[in-house]
Amino acid sequence: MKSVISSESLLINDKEFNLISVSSSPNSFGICDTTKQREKGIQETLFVGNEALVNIFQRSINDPYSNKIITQISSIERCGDFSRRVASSCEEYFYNNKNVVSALQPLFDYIKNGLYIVYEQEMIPTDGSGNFFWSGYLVGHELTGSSTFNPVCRKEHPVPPSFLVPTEGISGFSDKSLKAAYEKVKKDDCAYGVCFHLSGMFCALLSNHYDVTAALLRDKKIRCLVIEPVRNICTAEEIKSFQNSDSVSTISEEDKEQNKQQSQEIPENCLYTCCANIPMSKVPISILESFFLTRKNEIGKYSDSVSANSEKPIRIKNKRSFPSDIVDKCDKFPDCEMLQSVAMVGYLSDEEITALLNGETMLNDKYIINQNLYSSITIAINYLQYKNFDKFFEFISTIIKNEDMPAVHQYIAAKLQPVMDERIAGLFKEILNSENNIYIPIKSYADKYLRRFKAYKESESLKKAKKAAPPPSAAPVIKRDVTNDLESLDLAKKINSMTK
Amino acid sequence: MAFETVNGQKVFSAMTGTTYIFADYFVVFKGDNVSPEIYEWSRITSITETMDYITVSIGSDTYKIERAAFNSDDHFLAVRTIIEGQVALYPDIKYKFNKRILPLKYLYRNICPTNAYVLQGFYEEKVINSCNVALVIARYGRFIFLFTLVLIAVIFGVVISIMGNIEENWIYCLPISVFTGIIISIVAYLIIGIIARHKFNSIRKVDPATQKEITVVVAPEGFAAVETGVYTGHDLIPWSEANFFIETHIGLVVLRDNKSVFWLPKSFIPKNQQSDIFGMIASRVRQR
Repeated sequence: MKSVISSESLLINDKEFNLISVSSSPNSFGICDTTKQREKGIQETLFVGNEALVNIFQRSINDPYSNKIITQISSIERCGDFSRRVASSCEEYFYNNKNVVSALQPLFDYIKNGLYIVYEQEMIPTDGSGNFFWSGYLVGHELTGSSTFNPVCRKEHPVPPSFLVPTEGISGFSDKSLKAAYEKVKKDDCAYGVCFHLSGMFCALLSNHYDVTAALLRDKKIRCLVIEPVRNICTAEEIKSFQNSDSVSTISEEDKEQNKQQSQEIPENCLYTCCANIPMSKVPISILESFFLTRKNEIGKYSDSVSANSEKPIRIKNKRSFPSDIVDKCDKFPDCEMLQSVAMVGYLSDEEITALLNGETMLNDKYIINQNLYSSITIAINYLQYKNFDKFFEFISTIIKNEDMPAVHQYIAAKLQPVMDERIAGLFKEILNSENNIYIPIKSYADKYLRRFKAYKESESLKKAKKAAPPPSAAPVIKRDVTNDLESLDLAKKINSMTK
Repeated sequence: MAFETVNGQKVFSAMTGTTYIFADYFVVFKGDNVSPEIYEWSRITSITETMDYITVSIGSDTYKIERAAFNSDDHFLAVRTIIEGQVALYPDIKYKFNKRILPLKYLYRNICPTNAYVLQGFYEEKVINSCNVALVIARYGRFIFLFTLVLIAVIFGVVISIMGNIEENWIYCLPISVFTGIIISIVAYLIIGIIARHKFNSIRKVDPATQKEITVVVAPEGFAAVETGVYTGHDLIPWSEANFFIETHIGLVVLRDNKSVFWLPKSFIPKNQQSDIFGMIASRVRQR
């Protein structure tokens, strides 16, 4: 039996989205509930057929704002020709310019019944904390930004998924394939892939892992086609409460006016997705009906076997190490705190930054970010670190020097650890040399940073020297000096004859 | 939380021209061009099931869905299952319902059974009647016995008072009163049987589930008896919800708060599994 697919193309905030409703499918690919004991937490699993690929575990049962543990437990190579289907879908969409529905048809023939939104998104090849994505999920750990609804932006501001979770096994990693991908990515502007949204800011990469790695090494962008299941709504009442709470100033002056107009409009029910809230008036009734009819925990013929397989020990082995370049580059990518702050704040004017530095949370009778000063400052720090490094440095150095804000010092010191910059090193030197007692808690951070920075500088200069040095024409031959050996041989012979 | 894996159901009421969806939300489509009314189940104040309607109230809004709006009994039972699954999650919903033979769905928990015995069949009238009588005896057996003794004593007293001399006539009076007392008790017992039979018939009139195939599950974690049409294998009533069970020659009844919640006719069970299943039940619930 073939899936019945209906689709609708939408343009929201100048971005194109495709809503795709699937029914009568064999339910052999998607996310299913694999919870064993509800009291201990809720588990969902990304599966293809019987194979459980990624487990998503949430400890608190009724809190959609709590982070989840994401673990890769198997690899997509075990799923027959599925990886080939995904690769061909990716090829069809990005290289042969086919539309979303026809390009993804091979996947939608298998995907679970329900409503999906498909869109293009630039992805980051990390786990949201600076670790390389391909090796970051073999040991389950709680991931910031993995909650169903973002705790900073709530349902109000969409935070697009940006971080990747692998589905290919790392044990089969080969330098040869990486080399081929390296050459492939060299020709293109960026690497392409197809992703399936798991939770919050995390997506499972279903294809082109080598291309993504090569793009990381070549400093190229990674563009993915994201398939996100639509499972939640944002009611008109909720939207009204966001407008009334008045807790956020997004926003440039132009946007503020736009917002005023929007707030005068009557809020309407929306479909909640990570990339945008889609007003239900824009969705055809037939698609809406099928969305509401599909239950979140609908089961298919594979549910029980997937549930059993999700319990089995991890069926992929780790690789000992990756090229050091990969690890170094991952450190430089924005983390999830930065991205969610950018999604929430939208824009911060100089006036607002100054007000925050003066300990104000409000400007012109409106909250700059929110009513909590320290939360506002940390959000502003993350926002500026992503948007404007000079302003970021100015902001944090002002806060560090402000003796009234010691509560944020430690946060800043920890936040700066992976950022290798001469100015930050200078700031930490000042802290280390200062005799002011408020810096005692962060002196260890400063010391650690400065040691790392020194090592970083040395490795950088070594790299530069390597690049600058001409390539050796031939390997030098080291000749052995045998004169001493001959002398000692003569001496030995003389001693021998004397003893005889 | 229970029965969250039952497929969502769409009900079109020709009387009002409204489409209702029962799933993770309760949704009301009042027309093709009107944005739907979406209600989270937590907002629903009451649901009433009668012979003719299902009435859903949310604050001042009331939606009355006529029974004719349901395409079939299976359709109606699926909607009722979703409703009761949500009542389990939101016990503040005031839920009024017709008489049932199967356990109410809000007693279930979302438990995937391991090593479960899954049995199927139809509830036959004679099985239910026999179990009902067994239930009555279990509940009122002692009282019937006492009633018989009291009755014998009373009849004996009455007969003696009529005949006059106790010393001469007791040898005739005693067998007459014992016999009459026992006869009256048997009649009472038969009346109870008729009431039990009537009870099943009255349930049969209002509950379409009585004519449907039933799936019975006995697992170490709990038990279930649901209409096969809505059985998904993910819901059980934990054994802790049961107080005791009664075994008759024809079946077994598990009781909770002195009311039957689970009927297991012996005809459902293959002979080679009977001792295992009854052993499993006996190890978890005490027998009366």
